[in-house]
Amino acid sequence: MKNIIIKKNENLVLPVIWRGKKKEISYNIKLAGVGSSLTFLMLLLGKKEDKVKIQVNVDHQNIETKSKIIVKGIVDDSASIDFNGLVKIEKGSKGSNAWLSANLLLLSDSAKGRAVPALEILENDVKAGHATTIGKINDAELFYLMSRGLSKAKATDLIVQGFLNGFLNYEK
Amino acid sequence: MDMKKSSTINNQYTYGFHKPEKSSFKTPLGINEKVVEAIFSYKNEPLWMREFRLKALKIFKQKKMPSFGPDLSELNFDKLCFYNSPSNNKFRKWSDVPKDILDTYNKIGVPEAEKKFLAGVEAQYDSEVIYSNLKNHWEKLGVIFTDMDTAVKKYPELVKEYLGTLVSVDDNKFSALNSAVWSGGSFIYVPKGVSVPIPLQAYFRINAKAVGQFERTIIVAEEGSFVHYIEGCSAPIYTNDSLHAAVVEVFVKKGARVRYTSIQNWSGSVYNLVTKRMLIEENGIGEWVDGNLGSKVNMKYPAMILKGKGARGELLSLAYAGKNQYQDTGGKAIHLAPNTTSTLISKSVSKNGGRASYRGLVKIAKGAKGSSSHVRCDALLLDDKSRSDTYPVNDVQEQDVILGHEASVSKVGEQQLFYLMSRGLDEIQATSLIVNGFIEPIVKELPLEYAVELNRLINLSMEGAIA
Amino acid sequence: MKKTLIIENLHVSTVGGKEILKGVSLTIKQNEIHAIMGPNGGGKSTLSQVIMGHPGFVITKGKILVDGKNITKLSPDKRAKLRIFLGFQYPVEVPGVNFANFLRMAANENKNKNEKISPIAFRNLIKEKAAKLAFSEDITKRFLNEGFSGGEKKKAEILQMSLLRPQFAILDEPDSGLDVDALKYISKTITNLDFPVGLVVITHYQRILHYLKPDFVHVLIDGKIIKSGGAELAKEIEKNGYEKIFNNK
Repeated sequence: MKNIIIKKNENLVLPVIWRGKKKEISYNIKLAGVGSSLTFLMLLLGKKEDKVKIQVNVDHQNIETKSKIIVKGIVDDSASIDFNGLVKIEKGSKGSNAWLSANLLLLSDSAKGRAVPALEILENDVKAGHATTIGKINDAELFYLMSRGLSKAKATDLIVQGFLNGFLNYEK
Repeated sequence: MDMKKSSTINNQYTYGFHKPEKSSFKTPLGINEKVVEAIFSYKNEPLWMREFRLKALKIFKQKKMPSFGPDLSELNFDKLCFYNSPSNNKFRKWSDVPKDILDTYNKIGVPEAEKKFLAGVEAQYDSEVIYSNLKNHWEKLGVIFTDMDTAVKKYPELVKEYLGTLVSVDDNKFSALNSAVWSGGSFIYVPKGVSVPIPLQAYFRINAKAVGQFERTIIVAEEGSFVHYIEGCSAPIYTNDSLHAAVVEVFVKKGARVRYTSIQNWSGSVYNLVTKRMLIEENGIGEWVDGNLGSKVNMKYPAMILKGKGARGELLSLAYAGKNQYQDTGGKAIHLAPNTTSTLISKSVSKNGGRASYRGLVKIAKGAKGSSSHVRCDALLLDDKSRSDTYPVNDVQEQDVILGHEASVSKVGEQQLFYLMSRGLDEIQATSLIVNGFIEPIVKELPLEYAVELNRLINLSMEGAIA
Repeated sequence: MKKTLIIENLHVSTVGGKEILKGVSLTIKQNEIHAIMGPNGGGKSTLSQVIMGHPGFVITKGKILVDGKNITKLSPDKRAKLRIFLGFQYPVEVPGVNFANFLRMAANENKNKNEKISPIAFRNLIKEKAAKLAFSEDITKRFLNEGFSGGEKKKAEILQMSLLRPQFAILDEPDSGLDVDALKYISKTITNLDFPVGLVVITHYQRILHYLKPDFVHVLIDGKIIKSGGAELAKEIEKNGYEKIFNNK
């Protein structure tokens, strides 16, 4: 368990990449100072028999705090990813924002994914939200690329790259 | 032992649509074999039901309380009464009805006749004439619509075929409790190919009483049939009971469609812990419309098991958590077959320190190829005292699927408030409009009378909150 | 004093402290059409929103008077009750709120009990007026601005004005984003209003001024009105642009 405290006006950008080695990843992050912010970028690349259980807890403890958690996972072969996020905004943390997005792309027949993006909001003058998708590559996208002459494998590669680019260009 | 029985009961239960409950009966506090035996014999049930109840009691004693959700530690089973016959249950003097309940009825426009029924002053909604016309209609179709107490005696084979098969006795502590002490509830059977055009409403049941504590409901829709069942009411129903634990099992067979609309607005300190499940076969459609307005603690997660290929499940859930209320609601969708789809939409409003939590599960099992699920939960926090949580579990074991989930939590938008106020509406009116607009996707699926009452209720509570 | 909207030496800052209006004065009488023009960022939208009482701004100096009454501290709904109307530049969407129901509520706010319009009568009234604005879909069935195209949103603002019958209306860029036809319908509706109204039209492009002849034209740059004139001023701006006006003030 990694514990991090973010202080007043501090902006932490935390990139984490998992390539299959670790079986557990956990973070406990507190936005303790006024105006502190967190951008947590998690890239998960699982293949063969890789398995991981992830727990990311983010606690907004002050006013004007912001968090953005972007999780993108590519699950191939018989790998499986279990992502658990808990974003909490404490009472009194007015003007805070929290956003969590978790996308798991299942590339092969035996791939598995689980995502539990939980929220606990005790203050109303905030904006909080999350979005999760788990599943295969979008058929329409595949068809479109293949209709331009790309093989299924090439098209898949392109789409996966695009999926990852989304991660690298998070700001946009 | 102080069981009161003021008249002898024959071995043959004479059921009829005009038989009023003559005797009043109440079990002593607490739950044990003697209480369960008393219920069984007072209701004069067949022997197989006795076994069912006693077995359930054993399981109830072994089961642990749920490890998640609201704090249930205040529930003291030894101090509760587990069976209270209708004529005992809610008879009150008109003068005893709390003034704020009467005020609410007046303001939301509850008809005179209904007020007495809802307030528990009368044991039965006097709807004899309407009732018998409708009864003829569905009898002609071959539809069985009766209360569970009657069904157990009149249609035992049918009941035995389904009871406890979808929500097993040992599913959780409260399904075990219900199985041991249940009373009342509906039994509906729709034959193959029959479409019931008018919704079946709970208060048209035989000897309808206001909803009981441990109702047991079974709905069976045979192949290609359709039925819409409605229970509950948006107007507050006052009750002295502290624990309600109903169990609902719905069987949607191949190509059939069932919509189950339920609105609860228990006034008073009620713990409402319900287990509801739908089993949907090939190309069947199952719909839950779930309105949660009352209770001190409400735990309810209507579930849809998509067992046959092409099965579709939809859940529309509304939760309103006001002062001292904890709404822990949501739903479950379990995809077990290919090409199944599920849609879960949840809207919650928290105000005055209320807490609304969405608790959901979407599980797509291996082999459920071509399936898709979409979940959307939105929460509106009206002040800084209230709380909203989301606990969504998304578990995908099959690659060839799409699962999407979105959630948002916010307060009433400043721009929207300004816009509406700039047209002359004051802050309360503007907020009411916005809140009613927020829940519109759910309300539009409710029968008109419920929708109207619900909108008025929201307006009333906005006045209370901000004034 | 009667039937006059007076803006007196108005200094306005955002809630965050940035000064936007630095002393704006205007007098608008009923039946007059005032056009306010100027480059982006000059404060035109701020002015319109402040007149309506937007909570995101603070009046640091000066006041606003309607018929002699100081409305500077009144909430937006109280100003609406004095029959002031704001046609928003970017009308916000309010999901799930039926257009007709909402408007009827607003229209009935200012009426006595026996004068209130029934839902059916009001629906018909809306449909009648909406037809003149050439809405493609039955607007009474739709939700407030939800899913409306840019042009429809602008038309909907004008529709609301024609039904609420204000005595002063500020229209914030009613012509931006409109196609030729929509512009004609909107202009026609405004010129054919069957009640007296003092109009303030904020426009960036002046297109609408081809259809609505203004009595007065004011140029707002950097939070101040640097020049006022008649309709010819608008033509001058069209020809020479703002910079020249600014330099020749």
